[in-house]
Amino acid sequence: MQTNIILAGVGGQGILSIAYVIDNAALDAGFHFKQAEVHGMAQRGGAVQSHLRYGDGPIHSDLVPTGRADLVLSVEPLEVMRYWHYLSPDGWVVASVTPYVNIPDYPELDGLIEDLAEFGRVVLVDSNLIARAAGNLRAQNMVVVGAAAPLLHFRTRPSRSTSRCCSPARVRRRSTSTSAPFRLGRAAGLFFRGLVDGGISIPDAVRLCRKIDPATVDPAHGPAWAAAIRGDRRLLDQVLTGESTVPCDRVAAPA
Amino acid sequence: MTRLAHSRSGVATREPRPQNALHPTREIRKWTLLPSNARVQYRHLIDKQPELLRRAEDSVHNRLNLAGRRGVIACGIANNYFLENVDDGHDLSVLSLAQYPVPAGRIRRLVEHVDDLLVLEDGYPVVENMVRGLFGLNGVRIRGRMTGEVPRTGELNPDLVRSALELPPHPTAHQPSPSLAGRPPALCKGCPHTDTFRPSTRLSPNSRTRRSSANRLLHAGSVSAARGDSLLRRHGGEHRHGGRGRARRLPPGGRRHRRQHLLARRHHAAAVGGAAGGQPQSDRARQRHGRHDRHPALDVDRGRPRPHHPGRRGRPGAPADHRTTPANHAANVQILRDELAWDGTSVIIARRTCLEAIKRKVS
Repeated sequence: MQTNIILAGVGGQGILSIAYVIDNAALDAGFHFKQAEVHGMAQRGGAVQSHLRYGDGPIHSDLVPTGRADLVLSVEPLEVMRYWHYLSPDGWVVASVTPYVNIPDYPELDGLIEDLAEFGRVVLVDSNLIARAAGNLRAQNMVVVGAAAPLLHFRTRPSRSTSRCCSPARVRRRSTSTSAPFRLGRAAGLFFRGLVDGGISIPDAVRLCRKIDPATVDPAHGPAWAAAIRGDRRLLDQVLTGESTVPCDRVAAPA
Repeated sequence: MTRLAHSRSGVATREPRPQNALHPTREIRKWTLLPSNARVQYRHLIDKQPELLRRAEDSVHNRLNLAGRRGVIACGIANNYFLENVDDGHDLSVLSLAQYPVPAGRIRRLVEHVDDLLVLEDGYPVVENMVRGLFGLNGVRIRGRMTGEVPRTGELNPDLVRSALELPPHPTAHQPSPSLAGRPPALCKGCPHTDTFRPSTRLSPNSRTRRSSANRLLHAGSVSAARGDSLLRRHGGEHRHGGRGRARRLPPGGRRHRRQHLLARRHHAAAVGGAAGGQPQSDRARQRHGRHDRHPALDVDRGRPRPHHPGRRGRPGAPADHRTTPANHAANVQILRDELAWDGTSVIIARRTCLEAIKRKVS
């Protein structure tokens, strides 16, 4: 068994911290791993990527060959497209739909989501919304790790010691935690897939997830939401046009 | 080497062995860099070569497996990319090199066994050229960077090695997106250095700069933006007290050389984004630079370069501690315009504090 991951994002989003968390989790689970950062990872605001490989046998290359990645994990939607040629035909994309707009020709977000939707095997989460709900806006990277966790072969929830190592001192002093963003991200990712697997289109699933209170998201409600929306499309419009977010269990007891 | 330095992997740990006992050398001359001492050291280095070669020939790290008539020499990290692309049952004769100097005996055995030899090595085609020699080898086709099977320049990777081995590419889920917007690195949000680059943009918007000013939003101008130490290295200036911004001797030049340098520097020694990792300033350096580094300012040093004294101003009449804040934009433009018009060397030093470092202090 071998799993190859491309980690992508923008300099400053904590891509290396993601690598550190998954590296340590793989090591704790008894896997071999190799991880290579691409030169210039410290370049703030620039596109960055890291190659991470783990498996139950020795791993030769530090770099993932083109077409051999099982997962592109990106904290930013545009950055997925920079690296998705690395994906094997049955690979997955786990990404945040929170754009990091620091270039003048950044494409329309809706178009980006449409492109990702065409790909199909995607898990999309709004890392900004979820991290904010978890009380640690900086931990958007951990939201995406949480969303990707079900696709990995071990427990990736960052341990206290791992979190301490990969958090800047100022973050640690504020006693913010990475476990809540991870937990909410995991729930959001599973809920999203529950909607999509239940027949909701990916763009609609993204829109719906944004209107559900991240703190209340329970993956068990995903199929129920999908069934309800398939039965009556007006439910989706009603939620999307509402001013405030709705609790995830509302579909079980509609107002 | 850079790829290895940027890679991580698990390591097996064991009980540390005791520290080596000290054996201080009595040959103190070998620590003194003088030509007469260097000649002795060089002789010593040459005398060691036969022993080093013998060790490389016998090394378990230089593995030779003779199989089919097609051969591969895989050097260093290229061996990883080679193994990534072949199965255990391949029929290639392989010499993997991991200890140098090049073991000529093993290479001879390989060359005598094969008709076709692919040399995979990162960086320069050193081994490839050694094996081929000036006139090639009779009866053996040697391939590699010099013959185009591997690109002549650029880092090696598993895909390039796969292509050189004439294996089909792996199928992919998606084709690369050719028209994707680039995302170059940028200065930190709100970085006061922006106020230095903005006037230079106004003066010459069509030229290029280096490093973080590559951000297209900034479009900084024709000045060469580099750290103080990079600037010194670039111009070959001697500086024995290396270190960021601690220039002892500015680049050689005079009125014949019309060069303008913009040194954008911070008073915090830190990596990009204020991350830890830079060398802390020594107490002496802090004492020497402290007063000026606390405030953003634009210094100008004109004419023949001289040892850098932050307290002295090279150009008489320049405003003392001129602030390069947005409010002073027009004045900043004027200073840069004056210096660009100056027929000689001038050095403009923009001193800034690092916002990320300030944030860290506050929090």
